[in-house]
Amino acid sequence: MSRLTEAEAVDQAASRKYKYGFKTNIEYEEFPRGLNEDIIREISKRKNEPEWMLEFRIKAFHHWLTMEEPDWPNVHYKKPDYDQIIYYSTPKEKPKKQSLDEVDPEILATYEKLGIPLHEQKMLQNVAVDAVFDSVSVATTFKKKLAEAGVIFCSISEAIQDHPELVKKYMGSVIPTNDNFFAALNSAVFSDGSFCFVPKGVKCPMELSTYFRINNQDSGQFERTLIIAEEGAQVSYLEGCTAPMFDTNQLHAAVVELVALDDADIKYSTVQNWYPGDENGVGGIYNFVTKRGICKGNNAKISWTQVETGSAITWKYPSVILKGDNSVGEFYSVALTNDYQQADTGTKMIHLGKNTRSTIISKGISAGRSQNSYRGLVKIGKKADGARNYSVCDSMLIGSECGAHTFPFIESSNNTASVEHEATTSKIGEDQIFYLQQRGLDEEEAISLIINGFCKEVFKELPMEFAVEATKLLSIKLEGSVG
Amino acid sequence: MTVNEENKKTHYLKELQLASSPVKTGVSVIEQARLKAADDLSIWDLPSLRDEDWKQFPLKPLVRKHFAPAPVNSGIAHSDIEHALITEAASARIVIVNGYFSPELSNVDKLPTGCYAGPVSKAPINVVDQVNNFYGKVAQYGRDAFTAFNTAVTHDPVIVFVKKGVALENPIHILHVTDASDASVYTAPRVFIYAERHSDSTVIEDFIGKGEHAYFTTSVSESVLEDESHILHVKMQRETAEAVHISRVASKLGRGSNFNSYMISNGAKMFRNEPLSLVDAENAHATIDGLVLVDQDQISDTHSTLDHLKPNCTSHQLHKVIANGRGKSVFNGKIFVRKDSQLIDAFQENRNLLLSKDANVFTKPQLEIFADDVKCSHGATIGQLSDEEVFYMQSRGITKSEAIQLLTYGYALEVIENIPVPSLREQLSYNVAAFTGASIEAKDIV
Repeated sequence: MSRLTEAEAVDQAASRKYKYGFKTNIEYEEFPRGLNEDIIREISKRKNEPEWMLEFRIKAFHHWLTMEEPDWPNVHYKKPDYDQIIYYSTPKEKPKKQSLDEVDPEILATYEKLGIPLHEQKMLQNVAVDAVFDSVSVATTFKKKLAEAGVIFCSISEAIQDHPELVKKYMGSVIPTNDNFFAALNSAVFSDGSFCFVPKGVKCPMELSTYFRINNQDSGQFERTLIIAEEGAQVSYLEGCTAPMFDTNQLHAAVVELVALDDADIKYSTVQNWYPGDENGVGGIYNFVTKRGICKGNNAKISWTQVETGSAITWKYPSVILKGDNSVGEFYSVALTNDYQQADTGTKMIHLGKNTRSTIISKGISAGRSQNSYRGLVKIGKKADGARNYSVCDSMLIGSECGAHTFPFIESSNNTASVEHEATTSKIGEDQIFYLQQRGLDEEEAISLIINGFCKEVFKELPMEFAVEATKLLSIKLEGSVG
Repeated sequence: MTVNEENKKTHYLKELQLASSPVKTGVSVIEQARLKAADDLSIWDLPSLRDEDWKQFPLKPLVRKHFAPAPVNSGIAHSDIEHALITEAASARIVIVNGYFSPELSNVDKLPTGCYAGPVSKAPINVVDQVNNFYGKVAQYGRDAFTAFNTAVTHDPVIVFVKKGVALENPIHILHVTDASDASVYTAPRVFIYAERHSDSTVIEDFIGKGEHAYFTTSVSESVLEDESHILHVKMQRETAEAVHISRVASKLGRGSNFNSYMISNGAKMFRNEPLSLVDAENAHATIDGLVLVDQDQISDTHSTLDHLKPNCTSHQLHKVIANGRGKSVFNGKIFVRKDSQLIDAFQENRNLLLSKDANVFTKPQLEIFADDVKCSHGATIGQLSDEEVFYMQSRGITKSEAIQLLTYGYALEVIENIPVPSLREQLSYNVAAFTGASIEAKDIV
């Protein structure tokens, strides 16, 4: 059974269940296809949003209408038909499976290789779990702990209801509604997402990654995330999962905004392993994401780490605006493309404040017939005295049908700033493989070891357990592509 | 843009072209290319700031002015060009005044038999044959408006032909002089270099100007290298402070050939260089090094393309920039490695030195690799002189300003010192010294 049919099977099972009427029909009434002002009003109404939120959406929608889908990225795809998309649907409850035996063995094998604990496997596959590992109870414990610390962590819809003053103040402040085509679309129709507020002086008592993983849910097509760290606050957040994710929505246009005030520290990690299409490049998810953080205060720090292995097309540039003096921006990325995948990813570091520093480490691996591009901007403003940037982007090619591209833009208007950029492109040396084979490793193991060495600088930035899984993920992704 | 808007727009270059009356060369390929390019000009418009490649190079200062074709009779005398002459090239000097070949100022008597340097209209038949084969195909005038403009209005292109197996002892100096003493003029010099198998030559293209008026130069140079040949190409751009200079230096490399190009630019109000090297056969090597000095309101823009079309080739690019005053420098270095062009070793380095508070640098190194067994790297830095180095020199009794001058001078020399023509190196050293304000003595010159 192929992976896609598994997803279909789940869908079929799901629709069967609804027929028996566990839920009322009204709740599953689907929206008509396409987008207009009425649809947006309806979305806002269903979510019971205040007036200002609706205005925000409508404004974004009008901007979106005037915008054109960008075609400058180095990716080629058939543009989605925006009139055929259903922009809102109420979350469906998936049928509970009785045991892991009902799950596609291929998926289980992947989990096994990734080393995902048994109870999490069940969670991910929506298998009923026993009381000890019940996600709800675990989540409740976590929630209590967070509340004690004063951290607000909830869905963005809840935040709009419960903390409107915070959402109103910060939403759209980093990525304005008219920022770009996909951000405008997201601002108009976003369904849900996460909201995190860490008050002054609070160090978030746990990695929000852990919480999120247990609480893994359908993120939806137009996800919106907003994270605010007040003076001296610290938070680490992980989005996504190493486990393969199958989603029937082809277009994903998420927006993530980070705000760091004085001395705050935000660490945002992403592991993305969405459906990349089959080996002939049919299907797969378009991942068009706008992510940006602003170091608003002095001595603030924002760090992006990403491991991108899935999606047919990845198109994202997590950026940092270094506005406060002495603020720090970091970007660590591994982007792996195989078969017909295309990735155009990188970062922007905008230095505005004095003595701002940024580091960019980007590792691209292309295999099969894929195309992998790094595109980055480092801009030193006129007042950014003493700003420093250091960028490295390395590419590795496996096979002669793929391509690696680098498009770094570097602009400096300050003569006390210094910017260094270096990039290399190479392949795995035959002598390296030979050496490892001599030591008793087979070819695939040898390649996996070399690839992991290549990505080490990025993996060490990931939370511990994900680093281990990411390592395995890469070798699974490259299985059979070498030889 | 709709057709209507298109029609309403005045085509700036087309207007300039209509005013020209280019000299007939009698070479069919050149005349045909001229007609085709003139046609293209009525369709194309000037690139705008919305074009990615022209984003940092506003053409307004050019378009605001009207330029007339430079007249054939000009008062340029030997004394006007004396300062730019190169002693080694005394017997191989071609002087082009306002785009016209000047027999009085040129001297090409002592070239070895079978070699030729001079206008295409006087070239022997075997030389014209090669012009017919390759003219316009290397510089690719179908690609942009300025190269097409040059193709349409150039008079009598200069041809350099080096015969099989001949190693030229002395460099050939092609000096382009524009006389803007009386009016604002434009010129479109064109050079075509053909190196037969196993030949070895050095060609220096040099651009100077005279007069206070603004002028506009579009220059195109094409080099074709047969197997195992070697061309060392130097392009010096030292136009007057009112000039607008846009040039393309294109080359096509044969098997085992070696093209070394050095571009030194410190003149003109705004200038753009577009080196384009097609590494189109195995075991070839291309070097495209550049040195850019900008001060006051100068704008420099370099868009280079190194295209590796065949396996087993190497390339090297070092582009150094010193920006002072309100100077602005733009660099975009594209390196392509095509599919199946395995075992390529390509190296690119861009270094930018910002000396003043108001200088701006934009750089965009770009690698596009479609083959897996390659070694490609690029590096780019923007920075200033190291405090420690300046302090070290100060502690040895050198004043701060002298220390800065010396260090800047040393920084620039990395490009110049590779040029194997002593008197040219000397001239360039003085140029750099004058730019940095360093005082150098003859014994200091590398």
